[in-house]
Amino acid sequence: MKKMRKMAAILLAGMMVLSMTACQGSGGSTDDTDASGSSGDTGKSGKNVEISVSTRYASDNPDETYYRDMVGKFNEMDNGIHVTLDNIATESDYLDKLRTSFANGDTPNVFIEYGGSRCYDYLESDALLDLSTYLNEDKEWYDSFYDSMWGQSVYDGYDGIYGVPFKSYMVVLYYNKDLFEAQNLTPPTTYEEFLSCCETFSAAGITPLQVGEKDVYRFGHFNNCLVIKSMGVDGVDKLASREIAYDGQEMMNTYQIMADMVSKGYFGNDILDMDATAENSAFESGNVAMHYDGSWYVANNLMGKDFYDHVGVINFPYIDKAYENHNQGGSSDIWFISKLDKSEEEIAASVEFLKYITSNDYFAGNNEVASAIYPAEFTVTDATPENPLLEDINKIVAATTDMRTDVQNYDADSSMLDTVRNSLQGLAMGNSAAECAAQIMEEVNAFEE
Amino acid sequence: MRAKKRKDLIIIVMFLLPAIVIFACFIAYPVGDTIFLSFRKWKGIYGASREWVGISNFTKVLADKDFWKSLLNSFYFMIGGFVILMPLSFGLALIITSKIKGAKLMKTAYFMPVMLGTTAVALMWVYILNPSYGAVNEILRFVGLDKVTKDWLSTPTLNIWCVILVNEWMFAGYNMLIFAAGLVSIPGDLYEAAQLDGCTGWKKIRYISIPLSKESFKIFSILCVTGCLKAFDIVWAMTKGGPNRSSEMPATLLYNEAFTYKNFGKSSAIGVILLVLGIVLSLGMNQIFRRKE
Repeated sequence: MKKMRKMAAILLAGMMVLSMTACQGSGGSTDDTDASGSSGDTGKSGKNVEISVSTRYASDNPDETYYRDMVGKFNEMDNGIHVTLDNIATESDYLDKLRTSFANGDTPNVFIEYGGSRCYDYLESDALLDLSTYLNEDKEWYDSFYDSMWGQSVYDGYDGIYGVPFKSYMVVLYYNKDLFEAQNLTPPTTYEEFLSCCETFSAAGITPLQVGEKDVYRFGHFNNCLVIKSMGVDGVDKLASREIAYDGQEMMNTYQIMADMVSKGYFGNDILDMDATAENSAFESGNVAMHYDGSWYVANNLMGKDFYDHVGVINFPYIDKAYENHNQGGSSDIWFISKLDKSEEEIAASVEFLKYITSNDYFAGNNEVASAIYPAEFTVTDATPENPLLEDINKIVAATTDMRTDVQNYDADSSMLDTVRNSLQGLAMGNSAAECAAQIMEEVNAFEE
Repeated sequence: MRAKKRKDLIIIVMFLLPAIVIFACFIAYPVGDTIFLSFRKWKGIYGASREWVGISNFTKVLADKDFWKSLLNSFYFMIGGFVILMPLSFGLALIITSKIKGAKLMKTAYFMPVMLGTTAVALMWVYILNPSYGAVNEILRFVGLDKVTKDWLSTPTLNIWCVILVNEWMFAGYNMLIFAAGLVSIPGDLYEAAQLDGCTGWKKIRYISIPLSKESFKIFSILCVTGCLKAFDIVWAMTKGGPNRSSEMPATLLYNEAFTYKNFGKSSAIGVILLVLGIVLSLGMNQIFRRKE
């Protein structure tokens, strides 16, 4: 009996130690399925480099399906590189996972972020690879991108280029042509006209805009447009340098416009219970007059739908005529390479993957299935479908004299974007402009301490 | 003799080893690391320096309005726990331990929400409470109470009470089992003797069931207080602490500070304060119950 007890104790302790060792051992490998579904044991030299790539491209829309297919093709090449995908569609979940991976050191080799100050902490901690050497070595690759697209990949005080643009966008105003015609309205170009349209639609029982502010970036984008259209891109830079304060009169005006629109119901009903997807559906149902969104909306939501022909697109109305052609836009999704605990082989493989995924061929093929505005030049193929809405957006892009992405992307405080977006959400709850400003200033002051 | 003692000691250590290893790895080490981090500034990047900042993280937390608001929300959770959940669970326990017909069916029905899982329950209620098409507002409109319809999960204070009520609905079955375990251990002859003395109905509950379920109430109270302090999943799944941080709980605040704002030091300080608060409240509850004994 005693022997049995002793054996049991040893067995139990042994199992414990073994299981701990097994846990540790599993950290080095991955059993995630790859994009092609193959085991990935190919390679020219017989040595296979495994890299992990994290993105938000998990949905079934043509753009993201194309991405996954192309990664699958990359895995089928005989180049000794095997890519494992980790795609999470929901922005907050994706960013949470990415931030956690940076905290525990198990980062993906390649990942998508939006650049600007949001990635500043990673850069400050020397976690990002400077890509300038690789871009200088391959001039053709570097020159294929428009100069204006590098803004979110370079940082003051740090030499080098830390990201490669993958997608670009511009926030524009889509409108329902039928509803405008029915009300004898012309699409607005100034903010006064825009408010007048909202008033007419509201009086006629038509929702002027339906915003899904459960996703806080919706009000964030609206406020970006108000800032850029009233103060120009200089205003964005001055906000970042604190020459313009978040509780200064210029910013208070933007909060007040939004607070007034909330109280008049111009942003629609139940906006805090609706997310961006529901917002899109509301516009596509044909009962909402206008919808502000990125240029991606055409490829992701309108192409191939009957509703496409009922939609028009215009530049976001300006507040100050001087900034009519200053817009919210630029590179959005940007590829970064992590060098946290990564071998030279992994880094070389990551760069090779980036060259493939941002190549002329990739963009040309992408354009055939999901036309959009791209950060790089490429040869448009004959198979690219006609897309009048995108042509109109391209005209807006061509007329644009200057642009900025999210206003807080230029801030020294990497969490400013979340702070401002959360505070703007308060406007949807009925907070006043002053309360909104006070909330933002709390974070500004805490950061400056 | 000494060799035998040594043998026994080895056996004891071997049996205790798994528990000690698990405790050290999953409780002692994380707690120690959290305390270490709470005195430092760290942006949450592996390998990056963790700058010593003394008690500034704690002073920042204590000066943060959102922290006090989240504690107030925790306090609402506790009120809900003691005023709604406790009587409800005890009532359900009385039903399932009674001899009425269908008691077994009721036991399963009451326990069902616990089996569904927090996320499923939360999502279900998010739809039920949706202001446009949710069942609650639809019913109110149907009976002509349009004015009472609300945006349940987006109105400050009301939203946290909605989450509390869903939480009580979900955990009533679980706590029912705690009380039921206490009730079935009360000897039947006590009730019979009381009945002979003319003690029936409510009096039986008042003078026998409740006093003899003291241990169950004690367990419930400690679980409720500590559970309310660390509540995360149901709040996260229903409101994510929003909108505009109005339904933030200490645990969601901790999460947001770390993963949204990258203030891992401040987040750890919140964790340490919660830990201390949890220990103090549990000890306090124990003292109160001991004094009553």
